[in-house]
Amino acid sequence: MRIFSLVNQKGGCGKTTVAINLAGALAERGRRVLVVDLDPQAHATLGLGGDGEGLSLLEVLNGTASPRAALVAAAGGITLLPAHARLAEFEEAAARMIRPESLLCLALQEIAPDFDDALLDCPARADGVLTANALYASTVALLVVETGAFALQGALKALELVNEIAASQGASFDVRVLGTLFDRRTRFARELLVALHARFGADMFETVIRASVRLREAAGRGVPVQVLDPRSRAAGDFSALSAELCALVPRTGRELAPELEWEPAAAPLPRAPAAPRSGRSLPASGIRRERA
Amino acid sequence: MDDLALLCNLYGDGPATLKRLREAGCGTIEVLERIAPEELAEIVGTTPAAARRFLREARLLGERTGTRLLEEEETGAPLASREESSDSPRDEPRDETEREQESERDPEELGAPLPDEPARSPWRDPLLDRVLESWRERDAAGEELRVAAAPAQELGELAASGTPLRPDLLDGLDLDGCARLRRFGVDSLEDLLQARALDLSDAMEVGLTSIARLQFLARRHLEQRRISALEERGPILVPHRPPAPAAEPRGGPATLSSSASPSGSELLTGPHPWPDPHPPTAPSSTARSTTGSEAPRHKFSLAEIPVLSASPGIGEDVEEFARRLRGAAVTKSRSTADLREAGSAGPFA
Repeated sequence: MRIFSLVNQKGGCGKTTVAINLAGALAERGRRVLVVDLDPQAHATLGLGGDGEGLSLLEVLNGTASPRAALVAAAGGITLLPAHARLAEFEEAAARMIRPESLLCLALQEIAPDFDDALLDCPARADGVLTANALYASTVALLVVETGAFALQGALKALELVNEIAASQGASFDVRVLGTLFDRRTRFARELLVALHARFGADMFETVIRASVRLREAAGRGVPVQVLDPRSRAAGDFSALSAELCALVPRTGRELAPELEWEPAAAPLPRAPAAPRSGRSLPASGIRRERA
Repeated sequence: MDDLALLCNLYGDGPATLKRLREAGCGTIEVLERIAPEELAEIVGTTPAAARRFLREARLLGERTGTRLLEEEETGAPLASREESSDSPRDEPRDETEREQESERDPEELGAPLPDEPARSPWRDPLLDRVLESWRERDAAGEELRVAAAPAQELGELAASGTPLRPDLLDGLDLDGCARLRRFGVDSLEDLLQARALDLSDAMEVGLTSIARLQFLARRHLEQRRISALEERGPILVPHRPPAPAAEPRGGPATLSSSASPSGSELLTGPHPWPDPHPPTAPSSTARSTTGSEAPRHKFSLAEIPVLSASPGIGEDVEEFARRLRGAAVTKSRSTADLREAGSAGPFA
């Protein structure tokens, strides 16, 4: 399974839209696609028709539910690992854990044989533990850059953050840049795209996702744009992007982050039979997970 | 993303155009430029006029990519400072071609003083200055212009109308571009700025963005020249300005009856009570570069203009201020001979 995380510390740059519709395009190509919503706002969950009820990523990360049990079938042949607003509590709980950034990687390893591609929709906060989890697990990090004001500065700042996370994890990430919300009618957007191209060059995807009303309509209906209007320009953009992604050879040469080599020093504490909804009384060894 | 993909995203139908071009065996912009417009129109599925525009944008993009980033052009930063900043990410992909282009550029454009530039005097005829400057610029560029063969009178008229167009005056403006612009009545940068971009674009069959970009570069060029002219004039206005206290109200301490001039200018407090009609010439850029490059350049500010300083200060009586102004006006109306008779007892004594 190849894992692509969609990151940027800037909100509203199209991370969730890309996650939903790129998943739709990949599914259209016959790939088995998983979308993992790491954003506590749960917009990807809503955009794929999820209701935010039932098991979510929080339970999976806390170790109170298996990842397979939390999966939900969504429109367009996509499988979703939904999020919940309570996912924000994980940031606080992670402060009491050892290596909390590896939890998602472990969870995905359990379900890796069932999928070809996984798209991790990260929250806007790039320096949080949720994004660290996504980057730790990813094969390639897609830096989603809106072709609007502060695009280049925002992209460079995000790149800096990703590099800091990589340094803190002792790893190197394969980062690619994807331009979104491009409106070629405006000179400003065109100049910005040229500037992004001059800065990132070959690290940038050839496909640039253009701004489209169809994308908003599709998100409103809870389906990918391929379901709403497969002949639309937006669907064409994501189809081209999925083709690029299929042909992409990761520089790191790995398909999944290597298994953790460490073992906890102490035996895990017995888990509570039913996890409290607030998640405040997590055991200290909540990071310990059952290996598949 | 390569240049062809960028071009398709900017001026084509994105991935659809790119796919068609690649299927037709066109993988780079260089190959694309060799395709005839009619053939390209068939490949992409558009009209020949649109294909011609696409080819034109391809040529322009080929010239632009890799040389300089456009977001810095948008900021309007002076070329000199941009060239000096070597730690910016823009300067990373510098290659031999770029350095050659830089060395071929007009040295004045790079912010360096011309070695044989004569000292400019402020009372010189501005028209003559402009004509001489146009000659110097053309000599520095070292390129032959068709205008050079024109009679001197015509050249004078051309220079009087503004900054004449010449190749490499603006980034991307070559000899052919100059000739085409002149064909449509655009002889100078000022003409270019006054022209309506849309009309010019239609008439020349050039992309609107190209014309708008040229206008932006022209505006920046003229603005830079205006700023450098102000900087050269600065030392004449206020050669030795004492550091003013920051908390002082603007017009408060500067009274016309004091021995020091409101602006602290030596010219106003010299042996002559009024500014010399032939003030000393401004230090030429050559002199500046040789005598003291470490001396900071004086920056001109509106607060240093004497008339602005002659405003009532905070707490000053308005009637007293009006009386003071009337007194200054009466003193101003005296003849220079009277003032000389009065010795140094001028209005500022």
